[in-house]
Order: sequence, then C-alpha cells, then structure tokens
Amino acid sequence: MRSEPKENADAFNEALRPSLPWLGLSVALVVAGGLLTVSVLWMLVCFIGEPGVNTALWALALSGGTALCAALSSWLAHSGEMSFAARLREKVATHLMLLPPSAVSQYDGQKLRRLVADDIVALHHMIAHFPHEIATFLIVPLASICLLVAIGGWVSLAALIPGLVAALFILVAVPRLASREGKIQFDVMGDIALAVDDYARGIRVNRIFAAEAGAAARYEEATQRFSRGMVERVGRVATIMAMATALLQPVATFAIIYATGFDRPAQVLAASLFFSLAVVTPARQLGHGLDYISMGRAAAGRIRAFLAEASVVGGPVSDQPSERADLVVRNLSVMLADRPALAPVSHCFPAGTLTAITGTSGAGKTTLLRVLAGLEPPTTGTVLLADTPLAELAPANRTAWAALIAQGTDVLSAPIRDNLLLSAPDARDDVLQAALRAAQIEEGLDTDAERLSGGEKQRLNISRAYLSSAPLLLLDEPTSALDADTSRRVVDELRQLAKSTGKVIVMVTHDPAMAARADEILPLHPVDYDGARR
Amino acid sequence: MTMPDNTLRVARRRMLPAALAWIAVAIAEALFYTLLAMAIVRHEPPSLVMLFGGLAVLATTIAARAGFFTGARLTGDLYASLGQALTRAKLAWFTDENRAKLSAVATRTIPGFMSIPAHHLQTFIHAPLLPLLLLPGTLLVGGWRAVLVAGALLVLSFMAQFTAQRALRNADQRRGELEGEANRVALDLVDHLELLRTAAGPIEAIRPAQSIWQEQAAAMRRTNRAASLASFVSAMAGAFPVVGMAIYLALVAGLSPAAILALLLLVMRAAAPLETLAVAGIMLNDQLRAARDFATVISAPSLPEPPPQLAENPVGTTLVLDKVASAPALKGVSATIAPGDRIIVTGPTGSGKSTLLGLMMRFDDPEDGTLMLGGAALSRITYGKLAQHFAYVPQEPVVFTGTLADNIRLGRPEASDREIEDIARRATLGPVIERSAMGIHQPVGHHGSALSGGERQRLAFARALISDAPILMLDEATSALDEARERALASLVRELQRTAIIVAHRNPEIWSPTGQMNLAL
Repeated sequence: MRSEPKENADAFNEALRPSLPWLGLSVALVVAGGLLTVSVLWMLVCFIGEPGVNTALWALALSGGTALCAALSSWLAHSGEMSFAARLREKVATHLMLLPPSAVSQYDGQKLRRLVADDIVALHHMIAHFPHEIATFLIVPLASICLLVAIGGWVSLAALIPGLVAALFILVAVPRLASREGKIQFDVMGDIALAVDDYARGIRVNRIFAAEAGAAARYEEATQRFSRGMVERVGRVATIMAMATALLQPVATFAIIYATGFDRPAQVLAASLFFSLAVVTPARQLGHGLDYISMGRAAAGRIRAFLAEASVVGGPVSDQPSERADLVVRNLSVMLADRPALAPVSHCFPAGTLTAITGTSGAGKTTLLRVLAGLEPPTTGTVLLADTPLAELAPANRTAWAALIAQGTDVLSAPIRDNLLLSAPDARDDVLQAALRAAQIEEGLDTDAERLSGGEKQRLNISRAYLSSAPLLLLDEPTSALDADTSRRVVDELRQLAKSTGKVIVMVTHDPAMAARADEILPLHPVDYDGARR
Repeated sequence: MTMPDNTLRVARRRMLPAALAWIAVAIAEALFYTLLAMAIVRHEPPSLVMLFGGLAVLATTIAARAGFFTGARLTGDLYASLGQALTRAKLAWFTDENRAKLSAVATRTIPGFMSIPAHHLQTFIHAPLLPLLLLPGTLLVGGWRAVLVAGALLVLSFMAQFTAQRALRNADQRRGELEGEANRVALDLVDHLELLRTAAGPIEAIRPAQSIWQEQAAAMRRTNRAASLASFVSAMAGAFPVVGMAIYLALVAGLSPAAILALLLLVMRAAAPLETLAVAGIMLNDQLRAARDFATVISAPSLPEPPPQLAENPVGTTLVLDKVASAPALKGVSATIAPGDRIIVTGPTGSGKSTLLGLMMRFDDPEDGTLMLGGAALSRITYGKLAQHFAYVPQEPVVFTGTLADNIRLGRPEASDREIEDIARRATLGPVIERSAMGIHQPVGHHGSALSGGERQRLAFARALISDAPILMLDEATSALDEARERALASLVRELQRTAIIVAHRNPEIWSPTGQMNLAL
C-alpha cells in the first residue's frame, strides 16, 4: 500500500508548525529592539541640544533594552529553527526508509546525501535568519525615515539617495543576475560534487584507467567551468557592485548631508547624520542576505518534492507470523518507469523448502525478491505468507515476516558483532557465533567488518539468515563472491535450515550448479518492452 | 598540517594588491571623517569635505572591485591544487571519512574561500586601522582628555566584544560539530540504506540515529543559551562607546553642540568597525577550519614516485614478483608472468588474492619483497606509465552515474561510438543495448542501479576490454554471471590474446590458463 503525495507533503508543514510561535515571538522582539535602537538615536539628538546627564543615562538604559531584545530574539529564533530541523530530519529519514528501491535509484548519490544533510542545514539557516533580517531591513529604516523627515524636513531625504540607489541595485538587479547565474553555478557545483564523489568511489578503477580520461578530466572540466564562470560573472558585475558597495558606506551619505545642511543648527545636522546612518546601515548586510534565502528555498523545494514521493506504508497488520508458513505468489508483475521489470509470475513456495530463482540478468530476479520483502510494491498480483497478504503488514513488522539479504558486500564499518546485532539486537554472543559458523566464517565477533574480504563480507550478510526468526528468508545472489566449495557448503546449510525450521527460503542465483542443489527451481524470463516474452 | 608551499605562495600573491587597496581605503576614510568633524566644529563650507568624500568612495570602489576578481581567480588555483592532490594520493587514504572531507572541500570550502579577498580582507585590514587613524582627529576636536576617554571606552568595548564574540564562536563551533555529527549519522543511513532497512527493518534501522539526534538536540539547547548571553554582551558593547562618551561630555560640560556632535560622530565611526572586527573573529575561525580542511585534503599521502629523469621504463610486459609480502595474508609470493600468459590466482577466500592484484597495479607498496614490470621495479616506474599496462575489473563492479557509453569509454577515451557498441555486444551486453531506444547512450541510474548485478559486471568487463592495456586484471570479474556468459567472456579474452591475471569464480578451466598461483601454500 503506497502513501498519498498530499499526506506526505503535509509532513513538511507538520515539522514546521510547532516552531512558528517561537519564530513569531522572535520577530516581534526584533521589531521592539529596532524601535528601541531608533529611540537611542533620538536620545542622542536631544542630548546634543541639551547635554544633561539624565538624557545620557536614558540613552544608556534604552541601549540595555535594545541588547536584551536582541539576545532574547536570537535565542527564540535558534530554538525554533533547531527543533524544526530536528523534526524535519527525522521525517526525511523515516520517509527514506520506506521508499521503494525504484524511487531511490531516481536520486543520484549526491542528491540523496544532500537531502539528508546540506538541504536541512540550508533550510534551517534560512529560517533562523530570514525573519530577523526582514524586520531589521524594514523597521529601523522606516522609523528612522519618519524621524528624519520630522526634524530635517523632506530635503534631508536627499542624503539617502546614494545609499538607497545602491541598496536598490543590490536588492533588484543582483538577484536577477544571480538567479540566472545561480542556476548555472548550482548545476556546475552539482557536477563538481558528482565528479569528486565518483572519483573517490571508483578510485581503484580510476587509478588504472585515469591517465587522461574519465574522472580526473570530468573533475577538471567541472571545476574549470566553475571558476571560469565565476570570473566571467564577476567581470560583468564587479565594477557596479564595487560602486554600490562604496556608496553604501557612511562616507557618501555624510558628505551629502554636510553639503546640503552645513549651515543648519547642530541638532538638525545630528538628526540627519544619525538617522540617515540608521537607514543605510542595514542595507550593507544585503549582500549576504540573499544567497542563503535562495539556497534555503531551493532546499525546501527539494525536501518537499522528496517527501511527496510515494512511500510503501504497508497496512495495519502487526501480528507475529507462525513458524511454518507457505508462500503463495499470484500473478505478480512489476512495471518500473514504464518498463516491465518483472513478467507476471505465479508460484507456490512450500514451507521447509529452499527454492532457487534463476534467469538471465534483467529477468527481474532482484525485483521479485524486493516485492517479496515488501520493499517494492507490485503493479499487479498478491503475495500471501501464511494466508496473510504481505502488503497488509505494518512496516515495523515486516522483518519479522520476511528477511531479505541483499546482493553485494555492503557492511557497516564496525565490528562484526555490531553488524549482526542489526538483525537480532538482543542476541547473545554464543548465538551470534553459531550464526557465523553456519555461514562458514571463522573470524571473531570483534573483527572490524570493513577489513574482511569480499567473500567474507558476503558470508557475514548470509549469517543474518541464521539470526532472523522470520518464516520467509530471501537471499539475493548469496554465493556471488564465493569459491565453488564454500558456495556448496553455504547452499547446503541453507537447505538444512529450511528443512529443520520449516522456513521458506528463496535464493536468487545465476549459477546452475547452486540452483541444482535447491529443492526447487523457479526460472524467470525477461520481457521485451513491447510485452512479448523471450 | 602544512599546505604545499606553492599553493600558499600563489594565494598570497593573488591577495596582496587587494590588501594594499584596503589600507588605502582606511586612510582615505579616516581623513574624510577627521575633516568632517573639524568642519562641523568650525562651521566651514563643504568643498574640502566633498573632495575627500569623493576620494574615499573612489578608493573603496577600487578595493572592492579588486577583491571580487581576486576571489574568483583564487578558486581556479585552489581547484587545480586539489585536482593534483587527488591524482597523487595513495589508495589507502580514500577512507569514508576522507571522502566526506573531500566532498565538503570541493563543494563548500573552496567556493567559500572566494569571500576572503572579497569581504574578509576588508574586515581584517580596514576594521582595525580605522579606529586608530581616527584618534588624531579626536585629539584635535576634543583635546587630550577626550582622546583618553574615547580610547579607554573603545578598548573596554573591544574587550567586551572580543569576549562575547569568542563565546559566540565557541557556540558556533559546537553547533557546527553537532550538526556535522547529525549529518554523518544521516549520511550513514543513505550510504547503507539497503543493508539497514533489510537487516533491521525500516523502523528499527533509524532508532540509533534518532537517539543520537535527541542527544544532540539537548546539547544544542545548552549551546543556544550560552550564545544568547554572549549576544547581549555584544550588543551592549556596541552601544557603549558613544553612550559612554555622551555621559563623559555631560559631566565635563562647556562644549558647544557642534563640538559635541563632532566628538560623538568620531567615536561612533571609530566604534562601528569594532563590531565588524569582532564578528570577523568568528569568521576567522571558520576560515581557519576551512583552511585546515583544505590542507588535510591537499596533503593526502602518496606513494613515492621517481622524478621523470630517474624513472625507468619497462621493457616488455613481463611481471616478476619476488617474495612479495603484505599483512595479513600475503607471505613471500614469487612468480613470473610472461606476455600472453593467462594465470589463475587461487586460494581460499581471505588469502589475499585481491590484495595481490592491487600490489601488482601499485595501489600500495608491499611491506616486503619487490615487484617488477618489464625489468623495472614498480616503484621506479612513473605511475602514468604503469597504469597504461593494466586494465582492471574489480570484484564489485564500479559503475558511474551516466550512460552505458560513458562507462565503457573510461577504458579508452578516444573510442568511437561504434567501437564502444561493438565491444559491448561482444561482452554480451546486446540485450541491454536493445531494450532502450537510446542504445549505448541509455542512462544506467544512480551508480548503475538501473542495471542488474550481472549487467554491471559485463559493463565493467567491456570497459577493460576496450582499453589498449596489455595486462588484464580480473578479480572475480564474472561472479554475477551465468556459466554461458562467463564462457563467452573467457573466450573473448583468449581471442584478444591479452595477458590475464584472473581470480576465477568457478571452474578456472574455461579461461584456458597457462599457469596458476596458489596462495594457500
């Protein structure tokens, strides 16, 4: 049973909602702080007219109030965004666990890794700082403009022109340039990330083939595209950006104020100088501000899209299975990306038997195992284990019914014990060791799994079969990295396990010799993409 | 950890002009504010003030522009350095941790360095200079006592700012660490996704991650409280000099409003950079951390290679191993492999077969013994030349995200599409080519996930076969294939008459071997 995109998209809002009051209060405090800042300046203007100690002390007290507002609002903002990030991270992780492998393979390595790490960071940065900066850019300048006009008349606004022109440029023109360039740069950065990741992952292969080719060239191409692109982009805007930067400095504003008001009384001049500064200063932070907003929004878009992908939520059944159970597959087929990945198949796998699934590569053997494990939803058909449809199982209950041992030699970089405890968290050492022996491993529980050879890693994963209490065991190419003798022993042990425990064991293999040692063979045939069977 | 010397030198040379420009800006601005203050006190007309204002704006424009360009060009230099380091680094350095660092350096650290010339030089040069250069002006307007008071206020304010910013920096660092750990935990989930959710189930698999994240949330809360207190101190310290000056002037009395304004103005401008400077304290640490990350990656260890003048050239392609030993499994292996030989390497799982193949391709140096190719020791041959002699198919096929053709072309970049399709079909990839309208240009999915295990292996095989290299290294290269396909590939190897060193999966006879190395002895 798959989830609906709408319910998934709400997950994002659910994560955000509890933090909204904190963030709202934080913004309110920023506004208050901004108004207090303006009042400090007002006090100083008054002080210049009448330099009394009381006025100065009032200025001091109001400064304290400003500082208090700043500190409290920062605390509230960080608390809010932190808890949002934590909730979101958990939702993304939970969702990832339930995504079918066909959906996961649509995301390349870098995109997935970015989703769970960088994107969440970008998002909570944006939430932490954006509301603040909006308030800083609006409240203080607006209040200052009012006071400026009140004291110095409309002509005093003339002094703000260079600063505001520069600010407008940064606010309007740069984002337009930036978004055009930004998308290009972002794609290039994605290329760099992919190039570096591929380089490191395939270093063995790269080392031998790299001379002038492949990963090194891709890296060079991507990075050169980036830096050349940067130099070009900078070249186009550097002079104007530099002028805008210069005009935002108080120098320009002060020069104009003095030029237009040098014959005014000191108090009026003071008001013009101080309040103009208060209007123009926040604009100087604009350059930093915009980058993270667009990054944060892009990240939010990606996370939303990810959460909207249909996941396999299963059903309500959380009963434990019986020890012996027959597996019945009826008219099961899978279409992936409009391509048939598994032709319709029906079969009965009796309890206590080891069945080998054979077929040429591309026939859908791994896909079938994934459907049996409940990872991939089928397009048609049903899977029944002990008369219970597997699609109705609750996800938390899945591994109690069907344990899948995936293809390949992926292990955790941790002691063998930790790897095994994944499947059986409460198992004692003697149970773990028995499982290792049954899978033909002689290493100790404390050996680092990463240092095992490919064949040993594969057997480590097979030993999980002996730790699982599930009545259905699924193994994908369990002997691919083993020599003939070890393979025979492993398959014989599996057959023995099925007989003695009454489990259904299904093993994918392309090795006819190993298939022959099973109780039954189920051959699969690939399907042409116009539907005909070969 | 020191960076290679020429990277530092190049970086420094790039940044020097920008640095000098910002010094000029500080001087120009100080002159402007001093003249403005004096003009206010003496009620002078604005022409001189305008002139120096214009000069300061001009100087700032020039400095900022120089900074932008320097930043952009710097990334080019840094990426080039990184690329060189990658090609030098030895295989063993590429652990999961270092790979993550590598990725971070390439996508975050180096682009981040762009802002050093563009923003940080301004902060570190202009910000400390300006307050100092404003003190003479304060002396002229207010006299000695005013200078001393202003100086004292600025120093106190800076000390408070510095303390507060240091606390904020620590809080930031702590947050970064916690975030990094949270990310690592999340990345682990992604990297071992299939393993975790099939072994522990989709709900249980993230429980360890969840409890780590909860611990971190508690630590984050503590960090936030400390950071807020520091924010308060920092904000107070910012307002302190001006307000303090006002209190002093109120107590002293007797100054004209114009003089008061002039003094407050000077103190205000002198105090403003202190905040920026203190914020730079945080950024300094980030920058230092970034520089350290960069240095770690750049100085990844490499295997010593001979300089080109002293390098030896292999004559012929005979491989000789003499008592090669490498912990834990290889002990004193000796053999001679002549061109055209097909040697089967046998031994129980775990006896060092993959390690031995790696040593022959100099992925690492052996602990004892020597390996020679064409009469020259491997450590005396330049790696580029050595690599040209081998084509490698690893035990777990490495497929890159991209197309079929991209992956095969890795073996010989100049190969034409026709040659690629030809070798792919001979490597029994015909059905894969046929099933997509894009043929050899069909995408293979994230790390080849759109292909089955057997298809990925045949792809890796095609990649090795299309290369011109004389020696084929096949490490269980057909483990995911059925016997018929394996025979097809084995006869292809025979047909192409390459030297082959094979760790065989099943019956070694199908390779028609000319010799055997048994590592069990």
